[in-house]
Amino acid sequence: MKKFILKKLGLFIFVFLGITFLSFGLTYLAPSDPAEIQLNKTGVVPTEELLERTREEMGLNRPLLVRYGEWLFGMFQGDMGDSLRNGKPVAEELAKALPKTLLLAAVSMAVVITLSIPVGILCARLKNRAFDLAVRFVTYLFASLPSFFLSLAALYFFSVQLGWLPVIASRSGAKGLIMPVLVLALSLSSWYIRQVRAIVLEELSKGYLVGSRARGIPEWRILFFHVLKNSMLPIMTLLGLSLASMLGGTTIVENIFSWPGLGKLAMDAISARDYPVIQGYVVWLALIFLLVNFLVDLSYGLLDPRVRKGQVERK
Amino acid sequence: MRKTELRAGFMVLLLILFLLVVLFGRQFAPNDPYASNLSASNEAPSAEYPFGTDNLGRCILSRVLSGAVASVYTAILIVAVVSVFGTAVGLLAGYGGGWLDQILMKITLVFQAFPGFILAVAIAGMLGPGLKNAVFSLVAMYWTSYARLTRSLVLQVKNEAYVQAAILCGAKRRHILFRHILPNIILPLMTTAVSDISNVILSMAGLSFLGLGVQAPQAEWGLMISNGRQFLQTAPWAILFPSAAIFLSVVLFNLTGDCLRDLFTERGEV
Amino acid sequence: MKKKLETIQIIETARLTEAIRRTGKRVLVLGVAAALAFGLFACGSKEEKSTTAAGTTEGKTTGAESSQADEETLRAGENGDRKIMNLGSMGYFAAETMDPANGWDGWYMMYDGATETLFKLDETITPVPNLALTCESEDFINWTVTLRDDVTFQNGEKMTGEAVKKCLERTYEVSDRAKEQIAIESIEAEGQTVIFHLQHESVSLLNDLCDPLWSVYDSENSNYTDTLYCTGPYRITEFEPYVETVVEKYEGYWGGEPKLDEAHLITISDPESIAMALQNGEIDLAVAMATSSASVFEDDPNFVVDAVTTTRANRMYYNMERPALKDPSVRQAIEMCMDREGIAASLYSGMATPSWGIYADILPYGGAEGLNLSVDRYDPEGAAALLAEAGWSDTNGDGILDKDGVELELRAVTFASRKELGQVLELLQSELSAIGIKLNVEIMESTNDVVAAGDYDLDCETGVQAPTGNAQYFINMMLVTGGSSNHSHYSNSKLDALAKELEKTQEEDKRTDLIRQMVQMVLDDHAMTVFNHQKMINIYSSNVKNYHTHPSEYYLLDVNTDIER
Repeated sequence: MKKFILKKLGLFIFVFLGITFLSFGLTYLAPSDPAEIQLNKTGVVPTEELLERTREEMGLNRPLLVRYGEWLFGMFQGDMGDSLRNGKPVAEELAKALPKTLLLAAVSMAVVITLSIPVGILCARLKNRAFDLAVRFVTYLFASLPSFFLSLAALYFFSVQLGWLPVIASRSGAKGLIMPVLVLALSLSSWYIRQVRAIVLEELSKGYLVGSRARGIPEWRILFFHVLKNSMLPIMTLLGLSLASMLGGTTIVENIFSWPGLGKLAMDAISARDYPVIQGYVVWLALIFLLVNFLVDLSYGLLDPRVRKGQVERK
Repeated sequence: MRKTELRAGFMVLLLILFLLVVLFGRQFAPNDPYASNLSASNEAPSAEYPFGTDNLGRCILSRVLSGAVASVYTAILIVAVVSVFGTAVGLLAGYGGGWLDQILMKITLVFQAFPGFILAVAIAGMLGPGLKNAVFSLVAMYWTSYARLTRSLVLQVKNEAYVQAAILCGAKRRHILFRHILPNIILPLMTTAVSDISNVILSMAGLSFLGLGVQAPQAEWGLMISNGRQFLQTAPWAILFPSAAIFLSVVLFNLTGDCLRDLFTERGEV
Repeated sequence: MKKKLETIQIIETARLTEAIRRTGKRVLVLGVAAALAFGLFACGSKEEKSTTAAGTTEGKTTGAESSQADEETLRAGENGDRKIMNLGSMGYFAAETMDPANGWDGWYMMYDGATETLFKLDETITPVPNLALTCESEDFINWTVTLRDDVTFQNGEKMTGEAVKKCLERTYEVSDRAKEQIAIESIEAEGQTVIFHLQHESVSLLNDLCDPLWSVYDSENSNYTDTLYCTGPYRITEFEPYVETVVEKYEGYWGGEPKLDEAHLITISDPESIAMALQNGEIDLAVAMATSSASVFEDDPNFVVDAVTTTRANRMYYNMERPALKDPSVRQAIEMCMDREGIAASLYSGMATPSWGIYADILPYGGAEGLNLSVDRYDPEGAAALLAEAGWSDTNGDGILDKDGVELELRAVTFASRKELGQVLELLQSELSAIGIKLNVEIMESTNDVVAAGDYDLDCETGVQAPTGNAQYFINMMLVTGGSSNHSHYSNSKLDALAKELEKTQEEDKRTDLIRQMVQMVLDDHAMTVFNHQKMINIYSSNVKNYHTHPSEYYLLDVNTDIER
């Protein structure tokens, strides 16, 4: 048991370092020299000599690993540098936007779970019947439409034509969440329902169900207790992984619905070439994704001895 | 058995037809996709402009047709690059084993730890907008899945009797890799690749919509939708037709991928 | 799984709670719920700093007053009978700080109804007394301004001569633009009078003082990050740059009781979203709408489309420090490829007047009549011929013209909040590619950094030319060597000399003559192209009362602006 946790923790720390290192390295991709940006801010015309001095002052000349170490250390203390756009601490900007993105993602995830699992199970049970075919058709439709088209269509119908829902999501409380959540949840569900269906189909083909049926256990009980229980591991694992596309989706949706989360912040930062904020955006979201999957992993290891002993691999 | 084959064959044919249309579509464009005509801006679909015009008076049908190359072939290119690169990494890891496997898989793991689209947005955002940068960022986003898939397939195949036999016979590594292992894992890889093209089309359109992909005046579906957004109420066709084009190509690649998968799983069972 | 579902319920509850009380600890609640959901560090909420700061609690208003105000807020929130107006715009509430002396922030805060100036412009762009009562000068160098006696800052402090002096001195110190506008030697204060001593004669001091840059605020007690005490009918209570500014009525306003209790000035980054929010009733007034939106509202009786001709000039700068643009024929060729009529009719939906000169027709010295125009029509063929004549040809076969190793591949930049500017560049891109010039268009949130770095060839901008009616303003900023907005890096010593002369010239005819001479120089040198003058379009719901768009583009909310629900 201890060994399992230690092993997972070791991996977690490794990936954590990897993520932060890559995110740190991202700034090297930027075409502009930070020293030059700094000088431009102050309206000074950069000469080569001045640039060199500024680089020295900003510590840009030191070895990569040293700078990375300092950056990481600063991050632990909540210091991620200052935004180039407005001079505010990056951590403060991110902290303001993070709860909004988490709220959006969490509510959407809740909708995905409550919608996908029952529908997926029913589809598997009613394989190739009308319900299954209809659901498959609809999920195909939603999975093939870009989320920004869904968003724009939703805006047009629900806000302009029907006047039911607000255009500026952030100013309207719970009502404002409906459309962004709907778009995010529908896009992800259409993928997830199909995964649940496949997993449950596999489970349904197993022998023990014959025994259960023979013992006269009601069908719904078999489906929602026995089958679901046994399918839970892959279903939850996939859910953890699907958080990635959910978080990715928030970037587009937040920008369309003016939802002041990390995605909106990141796009504003990108158009202003505010590199520290872009860096903060990717590192924070990656860490959230990592943490969630680590927790999913850990909890399943704790609950299921087979996982702990390495008999069942996570895909 | 026959039904699956027929269906897969039909889908592949349809796909080839579609790719031809994409490739030569520009030739059939009724107007110059880049010629602006301010006196005909935001016009509804008509005989002259079957899909209407955008705000600069450019023919949307012509732009959808010529944008197909940017959207579809870029996606195919990206998938080709990531599948070759990812497969190479997976082969090395799976067949090489030992510390090589450890290192390669750890690197893969780190890349996979980023939520994909967010990594792409961040990379494209750092590099600045442009087609090349968008392609690079999507490669960084997609390669890992091929590395992992290839590795697990290699591990499966490696233990098959014929590979073990070849090793025992003292066959060269390269010979085993390219003659015995690769041919046996290529089909599932290709199936994944075909389905993945649709994902890449969507991601690419997403980047362009956010202004991080293809830049104006280049015709590209995501960018056309992004530009048309301002005229959602006055000229909805500027959004509808490029969206339909994205939808159509995504469905086509997805369906083909599914049919191929069905076919191979059936064959695998036989 | 069970655990997961429980946390999800918490979120649902949080969502409802949030809906019920939308003010106050909202962000905290959300932060905690979200953190719970992911078992996450609660960093979000902890570091959260409230942007609410000014006025209400920190101000010098007495404790009793402010707590009463709070109670009122609470009660009114329940009854919903507070008069609240919501305004939306893409780029009109874009203050970066709460400092009127910083950049153009004073202008933005004047829209908020927060700041006021000593004089203001009336409908005919003539200065009239505002915070000042009278103004006298015998020599045009020493100006004596008498202030109203009944004005208080929004912290209750009286506006005295001393306070005005300190404030304007600070602005003069902080702002480069201030120094360009008025050459102040010193300011003197005594009781309710302020005396300006200028470095040289100026005939336009009163006009210049109408610029929001010269807003009067309490420079002793404002800290500009979360407190700013000015004299307007509304005081800023919440300020989040590029997101939202909230103002509340200032009870002690000298000009009567403001009609609204509260106004929200919201930045929305997409023109279609603003239009939809207006249709949906989420905002009551949309400021400086994209011209394309007007058609949606034109025939709708529930909305008023208020389009006013102002001196706003949409213009193209040519960075003359770049090798390709040093050649005047390249600049002229680009000018010839601009279909100014087409742009005004289509991209601006007819809400703009094409321009061939520099100043708008509505100004006494404006229009193109009587000027010698080297470019007077859209003529791409002529442009191609001109370039060929100047020796530009495609020697390396890459489809782009070049000469002496300089390729005609240009970087054109503009900012995003005026959608039409990006479209103009996109159109120009297709026009120029036809004659062998490659234009790389970049549309960014703000061009400030790029412009500061000088890293551009073409810069497409917009601005009001003569907000105070004074031509000098535009000339000093955009045309004089080293001017703060001279993005063309244009330098013409003859023009500089004429500009100096204009500062001292009082006679109207002579001024017009000088101005037109300078305009002719700019046209001859192809230093800048003003391609049209655009109308200011504000669209509002018919519930909005006592509002109309001011031709100066300086004023928005005032004491009379009202809304009937």
